[in-house]
Amino acid sequence: MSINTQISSYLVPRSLWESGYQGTAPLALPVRDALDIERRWRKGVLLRNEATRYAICCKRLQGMVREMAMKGAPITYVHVWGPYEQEEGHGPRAVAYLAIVEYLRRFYQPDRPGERSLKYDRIEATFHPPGDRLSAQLRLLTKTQSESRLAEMCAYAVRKADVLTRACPVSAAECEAAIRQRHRLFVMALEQDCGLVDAIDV
Amino acid sequence: MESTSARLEASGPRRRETDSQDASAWVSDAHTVFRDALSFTSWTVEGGSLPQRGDWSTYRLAAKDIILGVVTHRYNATTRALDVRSYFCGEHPLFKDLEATRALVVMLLCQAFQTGNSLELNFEQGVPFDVRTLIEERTGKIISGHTSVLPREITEPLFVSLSGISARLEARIKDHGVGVGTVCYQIFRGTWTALQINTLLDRRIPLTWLFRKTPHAVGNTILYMHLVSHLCLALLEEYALKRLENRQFGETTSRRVSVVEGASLSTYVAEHALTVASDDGCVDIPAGSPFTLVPLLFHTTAEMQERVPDGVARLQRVPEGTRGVLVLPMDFLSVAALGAKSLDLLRSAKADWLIVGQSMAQLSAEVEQKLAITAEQIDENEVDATNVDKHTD
Repeated sequence: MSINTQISSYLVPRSLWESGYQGTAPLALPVRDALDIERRWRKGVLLRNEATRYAICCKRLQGMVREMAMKGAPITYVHVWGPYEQEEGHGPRAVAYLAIVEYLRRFYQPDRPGERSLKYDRIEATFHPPGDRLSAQLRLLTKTQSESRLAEMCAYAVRKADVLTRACPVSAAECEAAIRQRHRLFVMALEQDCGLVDAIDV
Repeated sequence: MESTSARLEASGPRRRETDSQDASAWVSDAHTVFRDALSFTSWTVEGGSLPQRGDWSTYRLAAKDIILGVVTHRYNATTRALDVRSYFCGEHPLFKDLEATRALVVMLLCQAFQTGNSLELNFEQGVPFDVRTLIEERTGKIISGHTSVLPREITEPLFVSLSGISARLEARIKDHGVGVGTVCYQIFRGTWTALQINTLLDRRIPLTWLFRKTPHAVGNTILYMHLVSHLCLALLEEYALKRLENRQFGETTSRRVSVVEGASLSTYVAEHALTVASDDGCVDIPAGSPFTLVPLLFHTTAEMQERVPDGVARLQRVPEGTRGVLVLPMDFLSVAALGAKSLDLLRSAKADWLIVGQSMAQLSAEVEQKLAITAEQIDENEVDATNVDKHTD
């Protein structure tokens, strides 16, 4: 029986993002609030209330996108990152994606002009509105997956990520596949002018 | 009472004079405790403040009108130990042997952990006999009557034994690189329970996230959401067990449910048959029959109708020889009232299901609060800066 996390990544067209669907409010509303909190957080405003509010915004977004899908909204694409117990051959599992995200946030320093740290990158965000932010994220993912030491990075992620406890091992190859899959999703989102929302199910 | 105060007042100055002369003399515990209560209590009818961690504080352990123990202690910043200058503990036929000692030792160890992140106790008058007996009974270690300091090597196994954590769970906690003392402290404090810790381990959640560094909601959102979802499920399971046990808050008499050790998934067994037959649940588990809980969380109430078939399908996949009970948050009641389609599905599948008295919003709020309480103990600089519990239960 599956008891582990599964993540559904929804590609939501801009029209739905900004106008909502059949009584479901536009996703842009909670997103604006959440992005404001992110901006203040990066400036050093570290308030517990803000963090709680941000988590509520993210949960609300997941609920809204799920509601849209249930109402039959024209969501461009849904990719499901399977639970840990899923058999191999169905693509990278959610835990592999979580491991590589944790690695990137903690250790990765891209060799790029300007800011080397990931302070202003939304690598671990659960939503990406269509537009500039999504493009910036795609640039980072492109840079990451074209790294010559990507296999080494994934091996390190497998060793160092907290999310991978001893009871929950994944391979470096699966982590690599996860980052490539994420990149494909962002390319598709940009091509079709979509936003991206990750909904976590347990 | 009036005459006692008058006597104390009259004897006060004389006692202070003799104190300096008899500093090394043996002082009877009762005498010291009574004097400490008068001299070191910093709050009075005129006001005052709670004692800081370095101040002597007198604690009384009482059950209704029976005083079982009184103890005076303070945190010693130099040795990082908890100094105990007087200790007074009695047995009562209403309670099991050493029950009062157990409670006082737990209180002292929790205080030592909270104030200094250490589990070292320094009994200034020597380790009391009942404490030595308790240590011997629980850990098999014999303490000399001339000893006054109980180091961590002795108190930690005692703390673990008193918390009721099983040997298997202890090993699993150590495997995650988390101090068992920390987990025991949070269990005694009421933040988390041993069952919840067990559930989290089964769900492959690293305990370091809970007890050492929690992913930040803004800085590490996806890991935070992953953690919070599993914590909500652990709470949901715990509430379901309480409901099945028919245990009211604060009561210990109930239909006892225990964990089946060694099962791959949190599996429970009850001494008595568990039966619920009402609008908010349908459970029929015979006594001694192992069962597992399958909690379901939803993003919105609209999603519930759709997720119930998924929950029923999960029930079919529980390990062989085990019964599954679908556990749903209170929000499900509103959906049941709206359409009753999901209820029909549950009935037709002849599934065991149970709605607990907490909504998803309540579960999330409780998780947030518990994480905040746990986080304060993570940061050593923040540990008990004021010795005041900011999160009263």
